[in-house]
Amino acid sequence: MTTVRASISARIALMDKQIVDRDRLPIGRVDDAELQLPDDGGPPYITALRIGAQALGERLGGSVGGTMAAAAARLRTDPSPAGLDVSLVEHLEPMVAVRARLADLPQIAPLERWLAQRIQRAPGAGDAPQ
Amino acid sequence: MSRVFAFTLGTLSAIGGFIDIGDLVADAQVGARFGLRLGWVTLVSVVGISCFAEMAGRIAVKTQRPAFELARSRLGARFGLFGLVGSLAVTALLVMAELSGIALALQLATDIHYLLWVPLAALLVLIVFWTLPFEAMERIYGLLGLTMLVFVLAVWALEPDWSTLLRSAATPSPTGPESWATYLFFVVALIGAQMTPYEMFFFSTGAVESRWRPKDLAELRVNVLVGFPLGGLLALAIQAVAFIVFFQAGVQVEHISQTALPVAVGLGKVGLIVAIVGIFAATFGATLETLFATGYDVAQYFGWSYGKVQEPARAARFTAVTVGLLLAATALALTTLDPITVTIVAVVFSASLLPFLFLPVLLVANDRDVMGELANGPLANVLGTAVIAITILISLAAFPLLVLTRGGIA
Repeated sequence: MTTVRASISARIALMDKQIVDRDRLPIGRVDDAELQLPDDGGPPYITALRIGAQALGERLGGSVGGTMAAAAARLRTDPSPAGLDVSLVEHLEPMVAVRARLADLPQIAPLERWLAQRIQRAPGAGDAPQ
Repeated sequence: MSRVFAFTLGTLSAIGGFIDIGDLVADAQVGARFGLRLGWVTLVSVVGISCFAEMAGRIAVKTQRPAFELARSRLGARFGLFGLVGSLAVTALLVMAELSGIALALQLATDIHYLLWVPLAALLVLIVFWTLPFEAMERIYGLLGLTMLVFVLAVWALEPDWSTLLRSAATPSPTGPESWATYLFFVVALIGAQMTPYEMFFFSTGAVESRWRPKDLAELRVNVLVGFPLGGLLALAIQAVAFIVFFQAGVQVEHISQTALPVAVGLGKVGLIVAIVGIFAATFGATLETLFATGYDVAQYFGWSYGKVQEPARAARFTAVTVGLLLAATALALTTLDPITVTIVAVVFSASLLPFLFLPVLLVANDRDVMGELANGPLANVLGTAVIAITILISLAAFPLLVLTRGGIA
């Protein structure tokens, strides 16, 4: 795993930013981040970005956040929020860009895929309107 | 040719956004009760929405990202969520009202009760949403919406006493029997009906989807400076014809057929037919705009893929949200809830949300780190700040006035 060391505010430079894959397709937003405290007592570092309404709801907390997280969790089969390993991050500006392709990240947006399969069966859905 | 296409983006935003069900209702009511004494409000709205649509469009051409996407990065998740939930509630009500507006236009044309037309109108919206490309859509409804200009013709055809019109427009106070509270309530309602934030979201996302770049900025400004004043002119014409025909007779406007009636008085059957086509196009365009704006807001807040450029299956959650909202709005319309009342409540809600939705746009447009040489100049900053100050006052006054005047009845 690569370590990115930078003295920037994670809250300003990272949180809530749009994430795109290597084809610039939107993946989601940085809804939360997983931190790890090193054993030697150094500063915490980010190991993964969390994506999705469940992660966002857990971060916001309170009744609104709790409801959002609970509703989002029911739409997922995996009990924990979707995560994206920080080693995949290419750069942070102006959007968080990821080296992988969205199609190769099965843990992200399973609802989108499930809906897309069903929508594709509807008449006219396959016609690209451009 | 692309210039003509690009031009219609502005016209659609103007006709479908500026003149939607809110205006058709509020302008006619205001005209019948106050004449042109609230005409100045329309000028304020035109300046306000032009200013913020231009900023949102400028942000879009510079960053290739629409306004609401930046709102969350700028304001944080919590505050952004507040704006999202608020604008969702307002646009959901508006979709219901616009959809009823399509059905009411069909009722005017056929004499068949509008509730029977609601499901059919919803189906028509769904088909257009599902199959028609973004640009074809805006072109058709933008051009059809131009038939609304018949309201401007009707002002002349009714041969009004121009000095009475001018005197009315120059008197910013309530007419004899009306109270100041009612007058101010209609100031809020008109601002809410005319300065609708979904126009701004639709405009900025449209600019992203049409892949506008900084070189298209001049065109974008022409759109704003032609489109929104044109919408304002139509709004004033609706107020004026309602004033001329209803004010002396003391008629209150309670139905959308009364919005079209002065055109029939002035221009006869042909005028009425053109007006009905215009009302149909304006409410149809506005239904699509409100639907899209809601889908965009949700998708951009959560960072999903969105858009009309992609086929429905490529933006599955966006499609699901939009179609779900259309179904919910259809169900709401079929509860026989009065669309006029829903419209008035929706525009007042909308007016109270304006500062929360305008502020992030001003902040981003003024940020030189993001915008570089396209950042706000002094004019945009002064106008933008003034408009936000006005909307804060409107926002504070909206609900007290709604309760105090019982929705303008008292």
